[in-house]
Formats: sequence, C-alpha cells, structure tokens
Amino acid sequence: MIAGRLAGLLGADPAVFVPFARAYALIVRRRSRMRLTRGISPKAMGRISPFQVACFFSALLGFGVAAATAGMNPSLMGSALALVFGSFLVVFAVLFDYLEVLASPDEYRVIAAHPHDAWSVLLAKIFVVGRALATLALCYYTPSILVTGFVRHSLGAAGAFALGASLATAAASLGAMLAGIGILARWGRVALLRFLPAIQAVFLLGYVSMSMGRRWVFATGFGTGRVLPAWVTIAPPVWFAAPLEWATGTAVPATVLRAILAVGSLAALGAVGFRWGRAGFGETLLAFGSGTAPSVTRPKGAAARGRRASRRLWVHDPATRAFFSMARIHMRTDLAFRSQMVMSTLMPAMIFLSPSISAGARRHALPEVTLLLASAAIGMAIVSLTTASATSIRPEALWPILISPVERVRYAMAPSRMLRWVLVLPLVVVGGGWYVATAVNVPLPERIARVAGVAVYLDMLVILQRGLVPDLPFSVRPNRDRRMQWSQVLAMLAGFAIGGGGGFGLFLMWLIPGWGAWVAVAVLLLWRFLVEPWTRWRVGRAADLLEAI
Amino acid sequence: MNPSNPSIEIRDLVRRYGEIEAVRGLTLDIAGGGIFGLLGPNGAGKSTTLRVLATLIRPTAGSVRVAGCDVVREADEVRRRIGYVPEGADLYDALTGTEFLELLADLHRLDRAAASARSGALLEAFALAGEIDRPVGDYSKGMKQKLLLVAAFQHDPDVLLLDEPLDGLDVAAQETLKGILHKHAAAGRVVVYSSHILEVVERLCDRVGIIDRGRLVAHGAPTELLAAHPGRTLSEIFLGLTAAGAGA
Repeated sequence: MIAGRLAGLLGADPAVFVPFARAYALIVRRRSRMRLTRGISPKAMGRISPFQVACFFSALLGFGVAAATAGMNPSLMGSALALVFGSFLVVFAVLFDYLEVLASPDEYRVIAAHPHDAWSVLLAKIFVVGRALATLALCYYTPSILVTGFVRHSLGAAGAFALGASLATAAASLGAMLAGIGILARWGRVALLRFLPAIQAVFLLGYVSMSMGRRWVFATGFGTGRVLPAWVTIAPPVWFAAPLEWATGTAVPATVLRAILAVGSLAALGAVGFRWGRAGFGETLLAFGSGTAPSVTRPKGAAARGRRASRRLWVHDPATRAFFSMARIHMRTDLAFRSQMVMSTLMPAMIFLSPSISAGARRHALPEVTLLLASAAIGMAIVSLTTASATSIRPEALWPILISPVERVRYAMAPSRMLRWVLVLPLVVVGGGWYVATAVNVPLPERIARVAGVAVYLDMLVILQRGLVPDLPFSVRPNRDRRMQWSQVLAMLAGFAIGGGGGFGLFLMWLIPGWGAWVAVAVLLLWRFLVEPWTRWRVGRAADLLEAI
Repeated sequence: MNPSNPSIEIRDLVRRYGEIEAVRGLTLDIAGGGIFGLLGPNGAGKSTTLRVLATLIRPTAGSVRVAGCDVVREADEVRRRIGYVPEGADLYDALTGTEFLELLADLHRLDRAAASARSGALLEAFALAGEIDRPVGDYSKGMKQKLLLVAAFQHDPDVLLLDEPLDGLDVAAQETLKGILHKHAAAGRVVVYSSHILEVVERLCDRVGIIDRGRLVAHGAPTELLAAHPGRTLSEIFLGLTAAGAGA
C-alpha cells in the first residue's frame, strides 16, 4: 500500500497504519449520518453505498451552485459563492459524518489495549477522512470548475479555480476537524450537539437565500463588477479565490491580503494539527468519554427549579409538557429532525419574504394579497412541521412516554396545540390586526369575517394535517419504508379534498360581498368540527398500533 | 509463576481525574496460575485500576508492571501480552465481526490463517460463528460482549483483564467463559476479574482484593477472608469493609 509507505515517511508504523486505514475506509463507505439516503429503502439501494449516495448529492449540489452562479459571470462573485458553499459542505461532512470516526472514546476503550501507536492511528484517520472529503469536494467542485473554464474560455482560469478549491477544502477540513475535536475535548459532546444546529441553520439559510438572493445581488451592483470587492474578505473561503483573481487578471490590492490569509491560515491549521496530534492523542480521546471532561454549564439549584416551575406555569398539560421535553431532546440530538424543523421554518419565511413575491404584493397594493400569502406560508409550515414532529432517528427512545401515565391521544395532539399557539394565533392577532387596520376600502364586518375565515381555515389545517400524519410524535424513523396502503392513500385524498375545499372556500370568501363572508366562515367552521373526530380516530388508532415499534 | 515473581505488580498507584482521586496509593501483587477477583463498590477505582493495567490511561503516580513490563515505558509490549475486555464498550457498528477480529489480529501481527483458526474455535464455543459476518451494529448486547471476549482471547494473551465480563451473556456463554478462564489460570497465566457480583467471584476466583475509595482494604483467598471473619458471609465482610456497607 503506497499510503502505508508515505505514512511511514511521516513517522507512522505501517503495521498499525494499514489495518486501521482499511477498517476506517470500510466504516466511511458504509455509513452516512447526513441521512442523504432518507426515504430510500435498503433494497432499492442495492450495492450502492451511503458514501456513493453522498457523492451523488454533492455533485447535485455542485450542479445547483454552478447553475445558480453561472449567471453571475464574468463577475468572480459566483466563484466566491461556490467556494463558500463548498467549504460549508466540507465542514458539514466532517462534523456530521466523520467526527465519530476521528474521535470516538468508545473505540479507544476497545483498541487501546491492543498494540498500536497513537500517531499511526491518527494518520490513518486523517488519511481516510481526508480522502473521503477530497472525493466529495471533487464531486461538488467539478461543475463549477467546468463553468469557470467555459465562461472564461480559459484552461488557466479553470486550473486556478481548482487550485483554490483544493486549498479551501484542505483548510475547511483541517479547521473543522480541529474545531470539532477541540469542542469535544474542552466542553464535551453536549456542547458539540449545541453548536451543530447553529451551523446547520446557517448552511440551510445560505443555500435557500443563494438562489432567492441572486436578483438582490445583481440589483445592489456588488455582484456584477469584474473584481471581488474588499469586503468579501470577511468570508474565509473567499481567500482561496486569489489564484483565480490572478489567473483572470482581476487581482486588486485586497487579493494580496486574501492570498496571505489563505496561505497563513493553512499553515497555522497544519502546525496546530501536527503539534496536537503528536501530543497525548489517546489520553485526550479517552477523556471525551470518561465523563471527566467539563460539560456545558447548565442551570442548577434554584435556577433549574425556577425554569421547571415556569414551564409548568405556561404548560399545564402533562402530555404537552412531555411533547416539549421530547422536542427539546430531539432538537439537541437528532440531526434529521433538526433539519426538517429548520427547513420547515425557513422555507415558508423565505418564500413569503422573497423579493419577487413581496414586490408583487406591493405592486398590487393589496393587503388581501399579503394576508393570503402569509396564510399560505403558515399553512406550509403547519404541513411540514406536523410531518417533522412525527419523526425520530431513535423511535425506540419513546418508551418513557409509552410507560408513563400520559394520555396518548393528548400527547399525539400536542403538536397541533403547539402549532395553534405558535403559528396560527400570532398570524391572526398580528397579521389580522394589520389587515383590519390597513384594508380600509373593505367594510369593517367583512374585514373581520376574512380574518376569522383565515383563523378557522388554518385551525382546520392544523387538525387535518394531524389526521393525515397520525403517527405519535417522534415514533417514525425518517427512512422507514414509505410504501403506503390503500387506506392511507384514500385518507390522504380525502384530506386533500377537505383541505383544498377549505382553501377554495377561503378564496371564494374574498369574492363574497357583505354578510355572505360570514356564511363562508360558518361553512369552514362546520368542516373544521367534522374533521376533528376523524383526526382523533386516526390518531387513536395509530397510538394503539404503536406497540409494534 | 509464583508470588515472588508476580505477573502484575502495582506499587503506590495513584490516578487522578482532575480533582477526583480515583485510586489512592494502591499496592498489589497478582501472581499467575489463578483467577484474581477485584471487588469494590461503585466508584471504588476497579475500572480505573484495570485501565491503567491495560495501558489505556497512565498512572498519576506509582509504578505498574504487567508481565514484567512497565505500563508506561513499555506500553506496546504490555499490549501484546494482555487481553482486555472493557465494561460496556461500543464497537465499530459498520464493521462485521470478522472484519473487527481481522483488524485486531493484524495489530497483533498474527498470521491470518492461524488467527482465523483460533478465533473460529472461540466463536463456535460462544455460539457466535453464524453471526460473525453480520455488521456489529446489528448485534445484541450479549453478542457484542461475546465478540469482545473472542477479541481478547484470540492472540492467546498471558494476562487477561476482564471488567464485568458476564454482563449480557446468556447462561451457556457464561459457563463457556468460566471454563476458558479456568483453563487459562491452570496454564499458569494471570486472570484479573472485576465484578460486582460477589457470588460469582466467590465461586470462580482463587484470590480476591477488595478496593474501597481507591485503596485496598482486604486481600486473600475467599476462604481466608471467611476464616478471618467467622460467622460472616462474603457479602457481610464486603459491606463491613467498604463505604457501601457504611451507607447500608
């Protein structure tokens, strides 16, 4: 093995490096915690490994980014954005997929008593993880490299971008590895789990806003200039655009600074990594799992009691409190749940706030359009949040709820109560209040009727969606077999008919003048009360069937 | 081997985790040819002592020699001579049992065919041979424990360090393990067996050491301990000597 000989030159023992490299390669190929294979049954996966699926999705993301940024050429802003997202992808892969390979205390407890040296094990880890990250980065960057070459008709530009992308990948990999292991060593696993949601939210927000924000980038002008403005230097991945700037003759004084920062950061990360890796690797890893590593400060004594008391004050119902406890745990520890929650919140907000849609609303100057758009966004959030609240990567951890004296149907309906308070009520109070105040060309009783109609419709949607996804909260594995039975198909069709009918009724209500709007509200209310028993029946049945999980 | 040439020699061992002193000046000799039971209440320092013996952690102070080798200066030589079963350790879920055993056999520089023959016999004995090509992530707790035991035995170590080895094992596997341990001890090798279950230790071990708050509070054959405390069971002696008894 050539890698073994190279590792030998770096001071590793090939007899230790080679077996570990072989084992880690198998581990990396077989697992992907990023849940990219969600919804695909193992049978359908056949011989395709999770790592190959991850490569496919990296390439897909690469095509998406290349397509989105191609229009920004000849500006370098598109290439800079591609570097930013590529670095995010690498950081993501390290923290979510490979940190367990790099630093696992349980693993150390098993292997430490067998002949090994820590330096060889560390090099094997870095070699395998580095190779996987390089492959993912190659899949992601290839479309952008091709776009750069074609748009600029320059092989040199493509090569310079590829060089920058390689260095950015190396720096992001090293930085993420050291930061992840550093957080683990200093504050423990709990702290890392608290950092991850923030990183995830930033990534998702960035990805969603990239396509939607393109027009804004062009409109404000800074994305269209030939050279990269100095302010983009605040984003470290952009430092690695320096080779491309020189290759395309667009270098400015800030380019020199960016190049110095790029080389300097890589050298610093390499030096820190080398020094840390040579000193006390094994002991540090063991401390992660020994329980002696300091954990994140949690409120104690009176503060903790006060917090618990305030929760009880706000949420009287034990079933709802149980749901909130499970939701808190899943927000901290369940990557799939967190992704769904973040996307469920961000997507409707981004769509509602997107420049084109809000500009359209302004153009028509209709408060009605804005209220309807807000209702649609909240409706989207209701649908996706209800689905998200049913999933868990560890549904077997639901046992404390199942054996506790919590009424299961009340527990199952807790997400609906939460959505009603968190989404529907604020919209009705704030959005409805604003509509009543601004839509002065509509008679007051009609304005109130329309707001009431929105409230009843969204409330019906909350209940209806619970009936369509009747599973007990956190009881469904995200990658479960999605084959549906006929009864489920019929239930969904009925649900869509009722929900769609309600939406159509809401739309018609805007057209009905005078007291006719109140008739529409009454019809919606009737539907809402017809839907409720059906939902309770579905939820109760799903709760009874749960014993099989 | 005889007591004048102990296989495990612990002198004034101290091990601290930050401000917590898990082991406080432990001195103990363990000779080959028998099974040595390490007893103590939760947090007494048993697992920490075993981790030091297994070279997972270094002593804060004192000296420890295993099979004549210093655990700090000759750690790799110690690792070649010992088989260690940690308590409740996870394994590589993505690897199959075979791949895991091959990894460890490679680290011990064992010939693949010889290692396979030896682990094959152990797998048969523990009734794990039929499951060995499945990913470890699909194993039950007992199957993982069996795999850890096979991994600890496959290089035929001189010293066995076992931390709650019966945890999760079915009755047949427990009897198999006891048989292997007796054979190992009869061959003059060292077996250190750490457990909370006094009845098993009393029946299985030739000598026991009771540790409390990081110190050795009693040491000897179970019969000697019983003779020194007439009319009392080993449980009563244990409770009388340790903090567990003070709280009871």
